[in-house]
Amino acid sequence: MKRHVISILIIIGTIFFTSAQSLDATRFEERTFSLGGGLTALLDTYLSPLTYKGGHVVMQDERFAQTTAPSGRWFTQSFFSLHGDYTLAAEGQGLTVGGMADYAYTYYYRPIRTERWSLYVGPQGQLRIGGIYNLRNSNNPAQLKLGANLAASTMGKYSFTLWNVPMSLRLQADVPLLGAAFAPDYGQSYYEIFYLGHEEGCVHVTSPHNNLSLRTGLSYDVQFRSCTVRLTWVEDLYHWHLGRQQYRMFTHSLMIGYVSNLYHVWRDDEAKQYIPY
Amino acid sequence: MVNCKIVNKRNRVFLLTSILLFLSSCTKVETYEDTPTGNFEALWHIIDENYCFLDYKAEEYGLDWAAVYRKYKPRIADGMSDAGLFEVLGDMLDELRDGHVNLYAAHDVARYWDFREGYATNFSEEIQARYLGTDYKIASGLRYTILPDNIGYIYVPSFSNSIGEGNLDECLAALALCRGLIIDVRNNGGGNLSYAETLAARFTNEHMLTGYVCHKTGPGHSDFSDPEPIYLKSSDRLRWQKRVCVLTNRSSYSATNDFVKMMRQLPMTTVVGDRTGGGSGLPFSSELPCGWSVRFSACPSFDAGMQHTEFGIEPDVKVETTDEDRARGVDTIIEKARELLAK
Repeated sequence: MKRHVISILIIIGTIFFTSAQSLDATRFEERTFSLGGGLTALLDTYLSPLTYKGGHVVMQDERFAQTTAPSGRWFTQSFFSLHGDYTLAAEGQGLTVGGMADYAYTYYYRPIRTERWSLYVGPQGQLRIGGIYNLRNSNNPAQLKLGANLAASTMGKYSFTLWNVPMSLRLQADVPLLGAAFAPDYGQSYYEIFYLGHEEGCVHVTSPHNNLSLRTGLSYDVQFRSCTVRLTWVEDLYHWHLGRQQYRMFTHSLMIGYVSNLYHVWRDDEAKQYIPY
Repeated sequence: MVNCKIVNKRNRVFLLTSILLFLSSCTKVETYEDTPTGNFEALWHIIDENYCFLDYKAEEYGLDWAAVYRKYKPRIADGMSDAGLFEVLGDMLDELRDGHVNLYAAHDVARYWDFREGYATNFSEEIQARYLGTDYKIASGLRYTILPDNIGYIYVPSFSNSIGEGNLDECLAALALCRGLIIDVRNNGGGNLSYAETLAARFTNEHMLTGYVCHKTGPGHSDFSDPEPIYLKSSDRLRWQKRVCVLTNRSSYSATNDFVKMMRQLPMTTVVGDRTGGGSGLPFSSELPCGWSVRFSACPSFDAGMQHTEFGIEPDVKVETTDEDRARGVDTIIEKARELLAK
């Protein structure tokens, strides 16, 4: 099992590494910083059989850049988000608080590009770390969330002009295919895992048979003079079934962000012609 | 043609396998309605699938959890009051005879305290105060003094209060010239297992096997992981090298029971007093649809001989406080320990 997990982590790490290498050159980059909030529904059977509902706040940083590959068809996207949840049991008696940090790096290929349409597909490496704390549980008060995935990502973009204002719509979907995740066994305590060091069986290989997750984001960019504002609606659906425990987290977020377009010049390279994606 | 058939068959097998794998991740989580019947069913199933002593207690006193269902289900009616439901559910949980099992509602806590309420207390704070005096020292969760016959006395009222290495250094250094040590854990209802281990680690010069722990791996009554050994690791700081008496009563429960389990393994230690209250399961929590919280033993622990200590640990020297001594303001158990340490 350990060998499989290590192999998966090496593959995901390679994606991060090779993608990062390709940025050391002259390139166009679009940066977006967004803030928002939304609704959360949470079920973690290690903590409770009840579904908790509440809200969350989210902060997101996205960087989309063209690589220096000669074809001009290769892009990278780095994505980092932090979110904090506050959820209550149905009867208002139980309370959980949680926090999650997600990082994803995608290496996109653009097979289709027309005047208005662009389509991107590519592999994505995902990292997730966070936790959920149930304020009234005894020896199972919290659940650590750790996972790394190799995912498939696709993104479509449609650009148009309305009332002489440039706008665009973008739809992105990410689906994890293979990875590794931490989860205690059915009735295993964190005392046993971390204090006594009996951690065997806590790292699971994940694939769609036990990790059905989907992240979709629909964003709308509108340009006001030199300023671009992005409205994004994101739906995150996580469904882990690990160690006979189930974890489901559904979030809907609405975010508003500011987009800045940068053109990086690396060393003495001549600035290349702007290639809008 | 034959090859095509093989390929088609392979494709079908692949497709079927893919669908099964996909569907396997869509396992439904059982949900219950927020009605008296729904809450009863939820509680019964939580215990049935997660409680760790169902098999052991079936052997010990004939607990039959399916029969418990049949016994209490007729007492549930969907028009019953919350108080009535709470009483029935509390009675059902009492069948487990476990002090770690509780049902928490806003108006009450259902509990099983027969492990101590049906027995002599063997402890009086008023009489103990005569031994501690008024000038005893407090090192976080430890209260300590030196008795007139040069025997150190440490009272540990709870393992919920942190016991730090610095506290132990100071405490043991202050008692270093004593000829023996009494560690009194009577009426200590438990707390944090790691604090109990931190204290016990000062009384051994080598790593010692003190027991085993395992956890449930599935909803079946016998679904357990392989027992993992637990070692008491010798502290690398100041360690006690003289004789020790550990005083116990029926209220020495949970993490305190674990402390006694570790200490009685040590060659220089004598356990004196009454049988401990037990409580060897690590409690987890869950919830009912109505929002009430339930606590139950989830992970069993065993002693070094792989025996349960859920119903307590017998002392090496059984002593009960006598009415005569109580009338004189004397703690029979402390006196017995002093006598043993003076030999």
